[in-house]
Amino acid sequence: MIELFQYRFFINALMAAVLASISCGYIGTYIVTRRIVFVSGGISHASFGGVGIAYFLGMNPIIGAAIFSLFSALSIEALSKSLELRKDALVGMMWSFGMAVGVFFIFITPGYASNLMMYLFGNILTVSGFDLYMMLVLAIIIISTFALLFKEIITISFDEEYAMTLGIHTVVINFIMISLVALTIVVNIRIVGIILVIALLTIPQATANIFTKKYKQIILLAILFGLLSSLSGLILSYQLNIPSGATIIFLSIIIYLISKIISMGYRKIRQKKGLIQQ
Amino acid sequence: MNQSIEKGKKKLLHLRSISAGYNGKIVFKNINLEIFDRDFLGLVGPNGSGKTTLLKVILGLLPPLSGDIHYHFSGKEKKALHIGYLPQVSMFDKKFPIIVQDVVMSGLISETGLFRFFTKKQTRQVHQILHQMGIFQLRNQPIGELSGGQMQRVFLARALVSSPELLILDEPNTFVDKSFEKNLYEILRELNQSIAIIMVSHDLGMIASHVKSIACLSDTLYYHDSNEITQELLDNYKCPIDLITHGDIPHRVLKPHAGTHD
Repeated sequence: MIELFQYRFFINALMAAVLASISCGYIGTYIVTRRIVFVSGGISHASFGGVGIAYFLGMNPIIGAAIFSLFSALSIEALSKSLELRKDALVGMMWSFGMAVGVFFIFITPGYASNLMMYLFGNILTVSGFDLYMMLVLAIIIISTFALLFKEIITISFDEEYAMTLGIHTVVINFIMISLVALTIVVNIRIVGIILVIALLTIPQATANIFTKKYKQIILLAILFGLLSSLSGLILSYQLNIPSGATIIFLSIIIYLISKIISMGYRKIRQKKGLIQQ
Repeated sequence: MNQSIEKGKKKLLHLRSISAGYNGKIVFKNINLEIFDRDFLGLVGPNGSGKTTLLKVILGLLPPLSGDIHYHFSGKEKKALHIGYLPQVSMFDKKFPIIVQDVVMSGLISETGLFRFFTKKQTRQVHQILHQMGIFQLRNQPIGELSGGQMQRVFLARALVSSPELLILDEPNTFVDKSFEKNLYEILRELNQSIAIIMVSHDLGMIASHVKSIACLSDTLYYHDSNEITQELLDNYKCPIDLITHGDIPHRVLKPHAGTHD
């Protein structure tokens, strides 16, 4: 296994796993506690429209995905407040519209869409230097945003209306945060793909939430669990020659289940001890 | 209806012919209301009459469709009033990972400013109010693990930590255990020595003996400058609310010790 570290692609993949775990640890915690998992799923799938158009124009599909996911994120945020339309219906529309645009443009693009599967299901072993650079910049932006705006983020997430009575600029912060959600999704599409990216943003948080009920600790633990599943998934997928995205997600669910069993067992033991003491 | 007796008191809030609603649908129209220093107003009205909507207008969360609001403090008009707000308990996410101390701390955000951290002095301020509410020992508990009464204390602490000029309570007696209810009114009476309070309830009988004046909201607002109110008066005001008395005397609620306080 040591010889793996001689390969450039493997070093890239390792760094991608670390950076993805950081951005997903933060943003996933925001998504889960703010209860916008469905919105995030919509943003992720809508980005496929950008992938399709980029294929058609011969551009880098990730740039197309970034434009489309930012566009859908901002319009969901803006329209759900002003239109007389239920937010989930709006998300459903964006979700399917983006997918339809993607399918349409890939169909009319002449020739075979060579690495289309990579955008749908991701491949951590083919991450490029450019991808890594984007991931690094995003991670730095996310960490500084949370450092500077932590009290506002947590107050808005907990009780948006109360935050408004305190004079917090909720509209501005909501737009900043939903943009970060969109960018996090796009950047991590390279790792696990459009269809599976939501897993990286929710499963590590669910596992972390078993052990702690504090926001900052959930972020930290989610990063650690994300790291554990993506690193082990990376090695396993390389050794067994199986799809990396799917492997990472299987592993993160296994980690969740093991954590759940351990915490339930621990609680039982504590209950028994409590009974004996009584 | 006559508020001119209150001349000795300073005006805090003045709503002038306010109409409000959502998506072009009007909830109430042409409301006039003045709140003075150390007022204790009970705002009543049937469910769906727009009590919470009126609070949102006062809090600046909902711009009125017409009319205007004036805020005053120490005799001068200002852009906004420092208001402590206790929303209905049922409105928030009980699974949210936040501890009691941080909930109360968030009440200090407006005086802290963007990109700044809370100071040690503010932490002490939070601890003091937690002591006052009798929930200091719960400070590291996740909010979702508390009882209804304990949560209500936390939110009251959050509303009060920044020493507001006006306290607004939306249905504070729902989800509250009996022991805290008595406690709550004692706390409010003490606070009312220095600040004005607006309390919303759908149950007039429950709050009448605690407030100083009553306003009833149906499609507009009827102001009654006393807490002594009769069913006849309610009917006169066209206030579609039943007076359920919790005392011995039917259809009439009186102050427990009229004239001894205030």
